Amino acid sequence: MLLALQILFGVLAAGTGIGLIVDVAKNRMDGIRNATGKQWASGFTVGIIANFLDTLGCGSYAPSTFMYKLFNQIDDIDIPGTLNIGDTFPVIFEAFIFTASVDCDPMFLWIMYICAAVGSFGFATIVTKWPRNKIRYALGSVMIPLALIMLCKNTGFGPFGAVGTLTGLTGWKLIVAAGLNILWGALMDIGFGLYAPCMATCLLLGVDGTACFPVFMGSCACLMPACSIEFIKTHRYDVPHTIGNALGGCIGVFIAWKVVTSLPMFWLINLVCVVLLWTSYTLIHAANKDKKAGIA
Amino acid sequence: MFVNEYVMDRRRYDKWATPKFWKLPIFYVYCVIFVAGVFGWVYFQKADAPMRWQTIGAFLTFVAVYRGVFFNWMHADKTFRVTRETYFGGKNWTCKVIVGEKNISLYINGKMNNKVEWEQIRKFEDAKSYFKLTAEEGNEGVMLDKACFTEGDADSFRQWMLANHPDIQYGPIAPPFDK
Repeated sequence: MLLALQILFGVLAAGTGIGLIVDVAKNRMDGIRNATGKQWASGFTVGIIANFLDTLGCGSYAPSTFMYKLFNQIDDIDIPGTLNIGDTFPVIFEAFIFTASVDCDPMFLWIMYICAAVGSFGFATIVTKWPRNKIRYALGSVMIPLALIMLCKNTGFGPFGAVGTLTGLTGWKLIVAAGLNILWGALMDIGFGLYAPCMATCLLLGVDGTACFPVFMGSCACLMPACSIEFIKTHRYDVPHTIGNALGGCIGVFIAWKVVTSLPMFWLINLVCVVLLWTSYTLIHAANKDKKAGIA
Repeated sequence: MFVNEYVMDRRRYDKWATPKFWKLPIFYVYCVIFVAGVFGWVYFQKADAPMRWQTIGAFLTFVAVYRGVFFNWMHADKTFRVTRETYFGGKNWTCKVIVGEKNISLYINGKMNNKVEWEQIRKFEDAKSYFKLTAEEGNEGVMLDKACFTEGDADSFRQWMLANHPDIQYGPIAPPFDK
């Protein structure tokens, strides 16, 4: 049965994979023939490191972009497409291994996935009008106390209670989580990652640390392929980096999965808090940078 | 010369951009995934298996329904709304296609937007309610609504195309888009 399920997940990844292979075979074989060893090495390395961090909840776009610029093996114009297509496979792989290894209430998952999709598709026109920098400051500022509250919960300090052990949510907590996941899904349309805020939401509402992972990974796995298809159609991606990112990314995800599932809960929650603080820093830093550049 | 003029609204965009999901081959793959997901979910619940197995079943059913049935429509609908908001101030836009001897001119809201040379057209596809002049890219093309010819009509346009551009491959559009 496990094998059958794994095959079915493979079919899901194959949707984007077939699109990519057909496009490469038809139009981009030159990209493979002319690729240098440095380009392949850069693609694999970035894929492994960035998707390792992605699985921990840090997101992969910022570290990938940083490393691409550092290695200087790819045209800047191809970076968004390369990231979108190359990361689709590791994200689906993430969703697969975490749903296969973590207990999480199926109905809770369904509701959270639907909400992320509704947010991303239903509210796109609304959020594109929102001031991005203000949201960055707001989210970045909120994440700091959230991380501190989680740390207090984890260490049993203060009046915040203990860390949750729920595998799903019901009642008002479910309504709050669902509503916020609509918001996080919508904010993805203007470049906000869903991982960290979704993780924070679930943790604060009492969900077990590891049970949060299939929630936010599945939400993203369902939303990401949409962008990839667009980039494949327009050929705006770098072939060796995309393939390197896709394959190396799956290796990075696997390593991170081993880390996450083998860590004691105490250290996992501490790690999550570090991720929240890091996300907060990146949001505020990006907002400051845009503000200086005069971008609203 | 033929002139085709129509207002691009949400309904028209969805109709042209969204395939009939039940006519896509991949839909049947999603049907299999859905059945396997439901079966797994129910079976693992009855068998008192660890919840992670039910989790996989739930994830599969969601992905099958979402990707197999709703995704294409949701994606096209979002693309239309974002385009309308970003480029046309939240209003529907008017498209005018002038099919000439030398090229095809596209006007949006009365302003020249693009010129397509006949050499760029690869296929002349015939659907129930529209024609598509498919360009090199395959998924891009000039759309003409059969009911919106202000000069000429659908039948005379088809005959003119077959007589004047026999090198462009003519045929019915793919079944999922035959609307």
